[in-house]
Amino acid sequence: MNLKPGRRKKNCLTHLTVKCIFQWRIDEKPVKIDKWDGAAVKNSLDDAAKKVLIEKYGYVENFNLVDGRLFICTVSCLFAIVALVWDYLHPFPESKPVLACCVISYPLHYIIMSKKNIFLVAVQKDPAGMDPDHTWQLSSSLKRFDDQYTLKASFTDGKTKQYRETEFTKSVGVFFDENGTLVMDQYEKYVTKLHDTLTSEKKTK
Amino acid sequence: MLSLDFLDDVRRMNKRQLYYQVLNFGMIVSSALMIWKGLMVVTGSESPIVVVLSGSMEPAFHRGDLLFLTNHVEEPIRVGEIVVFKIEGRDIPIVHRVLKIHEKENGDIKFLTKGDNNSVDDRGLYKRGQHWLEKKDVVGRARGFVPYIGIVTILMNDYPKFKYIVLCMLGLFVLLQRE
Repeated sequence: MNLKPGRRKKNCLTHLTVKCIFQWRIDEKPVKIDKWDGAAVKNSLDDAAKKVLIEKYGYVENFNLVDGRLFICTVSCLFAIVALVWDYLHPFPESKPVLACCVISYPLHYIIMSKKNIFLVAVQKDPAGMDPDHTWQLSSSLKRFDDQYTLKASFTDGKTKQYRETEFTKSVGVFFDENGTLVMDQYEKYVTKLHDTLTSEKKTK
Repeated sequence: MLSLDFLDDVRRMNKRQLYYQVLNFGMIVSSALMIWKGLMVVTGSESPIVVVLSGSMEPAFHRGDLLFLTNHVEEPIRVGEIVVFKIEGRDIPIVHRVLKIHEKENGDIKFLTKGDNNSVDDRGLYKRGQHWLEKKDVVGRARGFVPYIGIVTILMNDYPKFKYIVLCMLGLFVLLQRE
């Protein structure tokens, strides 16, 4: 860049300042949430479990389930938009049949969406590249105003199609400190134990 | 250093989760829209819920009351019923009582309305040269009401800035909070 030396220094400084003040992604910052907000607690525990499985064990996340849900929601939004536009173009009495159709199909997305609480589907690739991949699924539940968090892991062997699952239930107070910061070391221990229980069962059987 | 803690949740999201947040917002708007359109289909009226804007129907209805309307074709309009109608060329619905009806054999009607609290009938409000209202002007017939709640709508119309601020705050709240 052919700038006068003074100008270049100023640009660098501005660039650095902007970057410092406003770094968007904060993956490395410890997770701090409002400890009384049940939804935030569950979300942060789910995310941390996901992180353990993906980063520590190197499994690959399979987005089919999530994409399916996003697709169904998008389709129902489209129904709503179609109803809106149709009603605008053909004022009310004529648009009745189209409106009725859209209104009835809209709640269907509630029925179709599975309520299984699964938040991660990951694939464990075989290192040798010979056997088909094993599938891991994580699901969790945390009742409203309750402190008992249940994490369930399930393992489906790619070759034998065998299905195993195990879970643990602990109070969320075990994983969060006074300020609402997630103590990753503690949580990672439990998730690792869960994971190892399933892998060790594989070896003994 | 700026510490925008409330943005932390959003900053940790990947592309799919961000799309889900936007979708969540869209779903809430769509649900509200579908409920409104559903009411339109069920009641047969293009505006199933209206707010009384003036005191011309006191003591029956006061300014700010919320009215529930139906507009089924099979039910004939009779004298004494409270109807909500729109005058051709004007957007604002008017809530008054039916005074006189002329009915043909095939069911076509012409009717005259008057507000309970007004001293004259509505001919002064109708379009120039129009002396009677017809079925097509009717938005619906009042079937039930809830007092006072409509004041919020009147406030939002009188102070549009207030309306936009409230809507923006709600929108931001939904977009930045995870379920």
